[in-house]
Amino acid sequence: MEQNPVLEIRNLSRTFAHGAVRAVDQIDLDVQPGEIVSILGPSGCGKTTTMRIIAGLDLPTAGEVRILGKNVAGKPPHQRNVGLVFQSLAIFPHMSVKQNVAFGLRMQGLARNLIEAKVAKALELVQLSPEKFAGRRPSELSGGQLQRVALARTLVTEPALVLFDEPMAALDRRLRDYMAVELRSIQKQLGLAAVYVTHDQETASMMSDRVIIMNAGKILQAGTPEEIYETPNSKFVSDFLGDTNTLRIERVLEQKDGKSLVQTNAGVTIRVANSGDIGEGAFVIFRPEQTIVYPADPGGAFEGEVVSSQFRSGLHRWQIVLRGGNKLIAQSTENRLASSAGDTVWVTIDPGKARIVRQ
Amino acid sequence: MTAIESSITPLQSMENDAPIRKPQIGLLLIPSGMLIGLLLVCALVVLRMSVGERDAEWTGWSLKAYVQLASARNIGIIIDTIWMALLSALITTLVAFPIALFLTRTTSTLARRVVLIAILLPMIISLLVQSFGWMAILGPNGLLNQAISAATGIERPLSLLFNRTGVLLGLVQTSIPLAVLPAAAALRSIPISLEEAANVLGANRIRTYRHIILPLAWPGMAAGAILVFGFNTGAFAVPLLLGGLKVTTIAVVIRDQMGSLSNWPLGAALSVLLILLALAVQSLNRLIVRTNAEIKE
Ligand SMILES: Nc1ncnc2c1ncn2[C@@H]1O[C@H](COP(=O)(O)OP(=O)(O)O)[C@@H](O)[C@H]1O
Ligand SMILES: [Mg+2]
Repeated sequence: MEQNPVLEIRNLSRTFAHGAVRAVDQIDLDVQPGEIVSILGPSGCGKTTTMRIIAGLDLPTAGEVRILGKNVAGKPPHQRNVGLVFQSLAIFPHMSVKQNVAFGLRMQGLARNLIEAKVAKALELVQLSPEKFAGRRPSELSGGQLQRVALARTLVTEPALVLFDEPMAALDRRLRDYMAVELRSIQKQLGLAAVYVTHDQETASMMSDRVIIMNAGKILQAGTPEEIYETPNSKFVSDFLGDTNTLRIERVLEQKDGKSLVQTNAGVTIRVANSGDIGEGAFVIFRPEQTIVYPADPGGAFEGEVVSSQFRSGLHRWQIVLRGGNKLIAQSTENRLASSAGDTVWVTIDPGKARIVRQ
Repeated sequence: MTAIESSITPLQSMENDAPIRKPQIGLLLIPSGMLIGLLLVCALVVLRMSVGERDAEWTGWSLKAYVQLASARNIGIIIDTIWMALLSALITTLVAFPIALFLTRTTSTLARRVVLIAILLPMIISLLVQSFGWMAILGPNGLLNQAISAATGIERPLSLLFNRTGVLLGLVQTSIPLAVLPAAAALRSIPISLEEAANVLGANRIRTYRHIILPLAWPGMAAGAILVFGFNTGAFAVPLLLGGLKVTTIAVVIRDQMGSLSNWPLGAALSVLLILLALAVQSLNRLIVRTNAEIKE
């Protein structure tokens, strides 16, 4: 990375209610040219506040925002060269599609014919045929089409950085996935630098080069979607990214070569793929697909009872209660058990995947 | 829809759920309907009287009242009345906009409440009392003149009472709530994110107002302006007290004709004119409602 980052956030904080609410709490974030970074976190964790500060719609209580290397403190939104696609889309209801998309260019004072050409190109980019849609009113468009107008309206001004604040939250799952793939390809095609905010981990994974997990104003973990899914650094992160099985650690028996052997409260010792000073109240975490269930004891496995089983999207899942009372979820592409509720089963955990994390 | 109308949305979901017995909501209108019916009868009586003979309003037929109505003096008063109503509508709307904006934007509940009460005062206090208040302020020896002459030494520097300025001031002040409330309702219905989106897209504050806020708020402001205009074409107490004998309005002439001069047909003819004005204003309002509905829907 020889080029300067497009966005650098340093030690950014924003409190509300005289310091009682720490909406954004000392976060750092870089976005490199051509990179799309997702901020992923539950509702209320400070995502929107972060975006608003970057765009200049809100001011930080502490910290710094640099865009293309320049500190933007004190610059109003219209001088920041940043695009923002709002959660509510904020399409101007009294303007046609064309007028909406042309708005930013008009504010830049471009010549009329240049605006015409750019608007047509932007509409084509988001796959709205200019002939058909340019003259339409926002009220005549579907949710997905409004989405595209909002996107075109932002991209047409060619901002240095594009911010997306959950613009697809209102769409249904399939349309959202479709738009995510499309947005990703537009972003690649234009080499956009972008921050994409969402509380939906699937969209975040599909969209981004890097993901930042946020909770209660703080960044918990940053990395590629795969890294974070495979090696979450906390139970919260793991939970947030998907179903997580958790066993409390009673004792760490051994730590060697970056691996550990731990005694869990389910009464069984297991090998895990990492080590470290984990202190009191730590957990072993692993995902449903990192387990194998057996109808007979293979040795060294947890014994439990099947509570329920489902088949969904090509996957078999079993809810199992272990002898010690721990609940866990197992998952497999093949139906390894002809088991029904009440059957006794044995579960092993892939030692290369299970991890220990702090409380 | 105007801001006022859109705040009254019908219970549409009920319409489709047919089998439930429809409540007889028409019954709700009976008390007011009786009053309005009475008013209609009055309007017809006025219409009848306007084409009656003087002193034989019920038996004779004559267009004399309308000929009198078209006299130079009366035409002057009619034009004056409409002109002042128009001017007051314009000024009130301009004055109301920042107030409405403050009401919708302030985050302090206390400030909003205080301003709202201050705005609504003209509706609560009698027009007569308000007019006397203005007389005390604007009169030759009123507060304003005394203050200015104390400061400048000029005797009676301003002549504000018993002329158009005084009447206009009174009309604007007393009709502020009529303009503020619809404008505030219209502004409240504009999501703040539209303003922010314009801002991020490169519009400074002034351009945001010009391209986003005003176009979206104008139907509400127009509705307010039309209300003020309609209200002030019939103004009586304010011009009577603040205009003295110099500034007369249609309503004041009606009182004179039907009262001391007992020319009932002319008074009635002028009343018919006022009613027609009110109806014209109302249809103008419908027109705005329609064009605005086309924009939004
Ligand atoms: N203007 C505000 N005044 C007070 N609290 C606010 C304001 N804006 C946001 N907050 C608080 O800050 C926290 C983060 O909000 P937000 O950034 O909107 O979260 P997210 O977008 O992740 O859902 C929330 O607890 C919210 O209540
Ligand atoms: Mg949000």
